[in-house]
Amino acid sequence: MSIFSRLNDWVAKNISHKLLVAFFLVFFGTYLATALVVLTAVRSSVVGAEHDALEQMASFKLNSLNTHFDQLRTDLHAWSKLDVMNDLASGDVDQRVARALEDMKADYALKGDLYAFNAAGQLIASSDNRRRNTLLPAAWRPGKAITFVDKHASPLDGSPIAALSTPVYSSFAKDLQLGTLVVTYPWSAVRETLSEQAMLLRTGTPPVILESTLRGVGGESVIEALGRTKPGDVWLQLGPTRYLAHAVANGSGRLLADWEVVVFRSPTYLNHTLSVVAWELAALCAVITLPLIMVIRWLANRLTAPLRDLTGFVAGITGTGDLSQRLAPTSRDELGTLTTAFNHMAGRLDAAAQERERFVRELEFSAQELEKKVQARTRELTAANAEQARILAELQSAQSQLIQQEKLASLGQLVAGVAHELNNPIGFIYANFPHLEEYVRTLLDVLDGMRQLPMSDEARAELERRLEEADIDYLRGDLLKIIRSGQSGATRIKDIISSLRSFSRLDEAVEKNARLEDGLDDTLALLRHHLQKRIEVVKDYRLNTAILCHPGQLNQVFMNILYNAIQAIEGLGTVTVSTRREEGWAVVAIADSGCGIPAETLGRIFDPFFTTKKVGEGTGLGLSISYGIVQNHGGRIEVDSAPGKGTTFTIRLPIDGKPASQPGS
Amino acid sequence: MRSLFLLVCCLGLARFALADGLLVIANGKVPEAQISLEELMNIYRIRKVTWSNALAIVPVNREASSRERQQFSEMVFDRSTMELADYWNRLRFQGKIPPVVQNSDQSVVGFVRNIPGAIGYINDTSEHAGVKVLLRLE
Repeated sequence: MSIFSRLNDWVAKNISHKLLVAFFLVFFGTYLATALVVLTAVRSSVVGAEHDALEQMASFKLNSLNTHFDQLRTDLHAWSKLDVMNDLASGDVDQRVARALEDMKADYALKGDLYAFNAAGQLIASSDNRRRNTLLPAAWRPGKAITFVDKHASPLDGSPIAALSTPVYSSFAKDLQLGTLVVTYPWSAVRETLSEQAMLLRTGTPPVILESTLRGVGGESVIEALGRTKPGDVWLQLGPTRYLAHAVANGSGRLLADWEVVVFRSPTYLNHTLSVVAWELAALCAVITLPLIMVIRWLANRLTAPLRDLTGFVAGITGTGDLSQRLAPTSRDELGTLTTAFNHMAGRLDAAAQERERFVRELEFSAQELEKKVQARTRELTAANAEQARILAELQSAQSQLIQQEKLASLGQLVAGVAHELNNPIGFIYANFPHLEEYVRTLLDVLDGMRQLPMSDEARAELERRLEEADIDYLRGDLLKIIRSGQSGATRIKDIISSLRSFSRLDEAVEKNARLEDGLDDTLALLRHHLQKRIEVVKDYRLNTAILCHPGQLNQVFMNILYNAIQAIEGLGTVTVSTRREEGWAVVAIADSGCGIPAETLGRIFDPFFTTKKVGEGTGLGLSISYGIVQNHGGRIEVDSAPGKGTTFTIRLPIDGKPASQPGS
Repeated sequence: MRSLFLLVCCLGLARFALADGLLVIANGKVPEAQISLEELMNIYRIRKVTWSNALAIVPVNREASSRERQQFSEMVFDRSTMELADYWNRLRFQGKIPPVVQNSDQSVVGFVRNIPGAIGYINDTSEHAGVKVLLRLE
């Protein structure tokens, strides 16, 4: 995490930090601006002051030089008027001139030397005891008055000097030149006067640099730069460096008329001054900053303390939800007003919260009530719906059952009618077969008797041939068989008709005492064709009591169950039909060894129109009708099935009629 | 003790030298061959300032403490050196130039020899080549 983002975090967390930073930034910005203004002012002031100082310094240096040389000129003039100079005429036999020169050099602390030449140009005396046979150098030859000899190499020893030369006139005759007095001024003294960063020029075109104490800068570039400067310029660009510079020239009429002093100030000095000021400002800033930060911090804390209290108070309320808390106002300013307002608001909120809670409680109560009502109403509606659906189903079922029963009743009447009509002819047939057998036997006996009778061989042969032709032996056996089978068939027809009659029982509407076993037998007889040889019927009749019932309806029940049992058995199998008595109930159990009923359909087998058979084979009403019939009898029908092992239907009927009469059913 | 001895010797020498006379010498360009004592007085009183050929007279004196000056003062003006020095000093305030002072006979001779119109006095025993003697003072 960078410092900036940390600072950002620190500032974002706290108002007093924000205030602290804001105050500090304001202070710092103000201070910076002030410091910049101060620095700028200081800079311009320093530049101005420095330029003034340079001006003064240049003037001072030039004046100093002027003073030196003016003084020297005055002195030289005076010295040339001394009486002792008359001794030049005598060749300074007494060394008075020499002593005087030495004394003057010592007394006036001359940096250079004095040389006195006589009128013939011979060196008469000097302050440095130079030998006498030196002749006056041409450069030093004076005019009528004092002559200034600019920088030149000393003709005597070669060192750079400036010199003043004056003719010496006798004190007694003004026109009589006794000789020449020369005072030299060593150039090193000029250089010393110039001191650092200054330049001495001889004006003219081009100017000549007489002396320069400016290090590292070529004279030509200075001359060129000076040539570029305009009046009022204070800066002089010398190579890469900009110098503060000022030049002062002597006007005409002065001894050093063409001398010009230029003084330079390198910018490092200015920068040093500025940097000192800048450091002082920075130090002042640092000195002010610490107590100021403490003051600002104290102020920020003091300003934000009520806010903190308020924040803590609000956080407390938010955390605990306790709106009963109040905060004492600490001041009469906006924060105090805010605190009061907040207290007021907290009070209002408290009241509102209580009101809301009351409302919520009431609402909850109302909602619960409503919920209860809705549930009750829903239950009622559901029940009513279920009832309606059940009633509708029952109606549909009843309607279907009525139709089916009507159909079956019609069929039963038809079958009963047919059986009744067939009963008489079949009775004839059945009744005639014993007679037929008897008559056949008689005929056969007669025939046998006839064959025993004596007769001609021919006749006998003819008889025997005819008998042979008729295959009488076969006929005899077969005839009896045919009669037997006919008799058997007639018996079966008679039984079937009897069963049909008893099955259809044209007494439906009337309750009768009937044995259930008879109904079972009749039904089985009607189903014999379906049983054939593959299904063994095991009967276990233990009830053998007549009970009050509608036999025809019960037969229909048995028919349905047995037919289903037969259809459930594929290949060989067993159908067990048993009756027994259990307390007040007559129990009929019909068990088969068939495929069984899957558990998922077991609950629906009594529903109307539920079938697993193909379309056209079953109506789906058989067991439904059976259920209704058994219920009408006040009994119940139960089913118990194990898929793959078989199904057992158990019918319980009250022995002594309906326990609860269901009129009209 | 040693300096006292030297002083005694000098005094003795001075006493011996008092007996000598003075020679008044002049530059070779001075037209006069000799001058009178009065003329000499006038010259040293700066009352006579030119020679007969209008050449400016440059009188040369010796220093005040010299025996020659003392001798000259007494011999020519019959005055003391101090009195004459006063006179010459007063001349300065009148815009006149008192005689040039030279400190030795040699320098007087050298000066007179080199300066046209110069006149001086020296001990009669001193060398005085290149100048002409205008007067002998005994």
